[in-house]
Amino acid sequence: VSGFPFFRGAGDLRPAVGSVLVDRAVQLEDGPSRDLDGNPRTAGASADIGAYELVY
Amino acid sequence: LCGALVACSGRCSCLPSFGGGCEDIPIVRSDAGRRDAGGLDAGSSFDAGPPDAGCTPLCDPLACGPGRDTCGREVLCECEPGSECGEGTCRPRAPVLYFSDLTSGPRTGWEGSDTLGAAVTVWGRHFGASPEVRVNGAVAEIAHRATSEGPPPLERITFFVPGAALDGPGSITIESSTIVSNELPFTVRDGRIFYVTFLGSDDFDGSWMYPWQNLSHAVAQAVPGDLIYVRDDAAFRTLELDRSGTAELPIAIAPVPGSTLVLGPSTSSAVITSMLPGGSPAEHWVLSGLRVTSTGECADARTGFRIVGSSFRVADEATGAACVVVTGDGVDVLGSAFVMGAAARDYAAIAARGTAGSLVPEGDRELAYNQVRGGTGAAIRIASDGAPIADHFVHDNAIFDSGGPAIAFGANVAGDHRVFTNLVVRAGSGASADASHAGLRFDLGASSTARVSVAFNTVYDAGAGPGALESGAIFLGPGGELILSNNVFASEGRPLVADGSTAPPPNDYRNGWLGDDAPLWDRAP
Repeated sequence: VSGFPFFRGAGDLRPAVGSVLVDRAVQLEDGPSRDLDGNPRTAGASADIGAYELVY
Repeated sequence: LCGALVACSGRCSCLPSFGGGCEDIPIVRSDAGRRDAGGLDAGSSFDAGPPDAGCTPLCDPLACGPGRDTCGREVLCECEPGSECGEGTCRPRAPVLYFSDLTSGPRTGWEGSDTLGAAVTVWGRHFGASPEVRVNGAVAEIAHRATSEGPPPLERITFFVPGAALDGPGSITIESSTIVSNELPFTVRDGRIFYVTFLGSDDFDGSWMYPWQNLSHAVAQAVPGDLIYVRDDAAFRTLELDRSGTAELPIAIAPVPGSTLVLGPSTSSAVITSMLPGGSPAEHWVLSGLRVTSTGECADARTGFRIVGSSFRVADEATGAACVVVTGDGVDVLGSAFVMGAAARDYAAIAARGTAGSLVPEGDRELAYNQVRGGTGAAIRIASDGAPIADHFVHDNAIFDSGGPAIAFGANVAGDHRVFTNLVVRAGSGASADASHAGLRFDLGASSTARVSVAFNTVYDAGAGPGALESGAIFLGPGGELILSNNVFASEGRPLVADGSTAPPPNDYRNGWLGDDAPLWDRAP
C-alpha cells in the first residue's frame, strides 16, 4: 500500500482522515484486538494498517 | 503541497483529492458541532482555527465520524473524551485491563487488617472518572491512581484485595459508566504481608507497626507466597534474590501505594541478581514499581519472573549485555520505561536469550507495553548463544531513538513468535559503522524453522545512523518463516528495505510503504 496521505502529521503517526492506511489491513487469524491507544482494532470495515486505528 | 513526510500546517490536512494538497478539515467534537462552531479542538493537529463565516458543521447529536458543514466541506465529528465512536454514534468507552502486577494474593493482612489484603496494581485504559474494581466478585478499596501519557498510554489503579473476595481462582474487573472491562485472572490465596522502611529495624517482626529496615533482611525471611512492601520511598543499592517462589506462590516486592522503591546504582554486579546459594537461578518473583538506576546490568529475569510497571535508567558507559536479561520460561516484562544512556555498543534494554550451556528449549515470554528511549544497541534483542528460545510475544512497545534496531531477532530462535502493534521511531540512529541500523531486524539463520508473525507495527524514520550498514526500516535475513503484514514503514531518503535483505515469497502482505517504492514482493498478485 502506498500513496498519500499516511499520517496525521509530523509527531502524530496515527492515520490521517482519508489515509490510504484506513480499513486496508488484511485479516489475520491471531491478530491483535486493540491498537496502541487501547482502541478496538477494527473501527471500520477492516482494521487500519499500522500501530494505530483511526477513531473518531 | 504535501505528502510523503511533508506535513501540512496546523490548519490543514493532506488530502488525496488534492493530489497531495493541503485542505482545511476542521475536526469538530460532536457537542461543539451542535452548539457552537467555535468549539474546535484547539489541541488537534488538524486544528482549523476559527471556522469560515457562515460555515457551520452539521454534526448530529451524539453522532461521530465523517460529516459535512453548511458549506459542503468535509468535517470530522469527534466524540468527547471518555467516549468512543461506534457505528456512527458516541458511546462511553469500555474500560480495558492490560495486566496486573500480582496474579494472586491474600484477602487479609494489609496493616494487619481482616478486611484488606494484598495491594494489587492493574494497568489499562479508559478507566473513567469513578471506576469500581472487583476481585472475585467483591468490590475493592482503591488506594491510588495514576496515568502516564505514553506512548503507550497507560492508566493504573492500585487497590486492596477485599476481605469479602471469594477464595480460589477468579478475576479482576473494572466497571466504569456501567460498562465492565475484560477479566484479568487472579487467585485469592493465603500469604503473609511484610513491610520495610528505613525507619524500621531488622529486629522487628516485619509488620506494619514493626517494619524491617533492610530489603535484604526481608528477602532472607521470605517463603513462597510472601509479599514484601516497601514504605517511605526507601532506596537500596542492590537486591539479591537468593531464594525462589513457586509458580502458584511467587514472592513479590513492591512499594506501598503512592510510595517509591529506588534501587542502584550497583558498584559491582547487576542491581538485581537472581541466584540461589548453590548457583542455580532463583525463580518466580514479582517485581513491581521499581525505580532502578544502573551502570551495568539492571536485572536478571529468570523463570517465572514478572517485572512490571518499573523504570530503568542506564548510565553512559554502562557495561554488560542488557538492562534486563531474560532467561528461562514464563518471563514477563510489562509496562516499564527504559531510559538508555550511551552504554556499550551491544547493550540492549531487554535481551531475551537462552541459558548458557543448555540445550533445553526455553520460552513463553511477554515483552509488552514498555517504552524505550535512546541507547546504543538494539532496544529489544531476542537471540541466544545458549538454549534455543521460543514463543516470544512482543507487543505494544514504543521505542524511540535506539542506536541499533528497535526489535532484533537473531540466532537460535525456534518455534512461534509474535511482534504486534509496536511503535518504532528513529531506530538505528547509532554511530557504529559496523552495526545494524535497521528499524526491525530478523536474521534467524538459514537453517532456522522459527515462525515470526510481524503485524500492525509502525516504523518511522529508521536507519538514520551515519554508518549506513543495513540502513532501512527493516532488514530481512535468510531462514525461518516471516509473516510481515499490515505494518507501516516510512522513511525519507533511505531505503525502506535494507540492502542485503532476503525477499520473502511475493504476496499481498498489505504493508504500508511511505518514502520509497513498495518492494515487488509486497504487491497484490
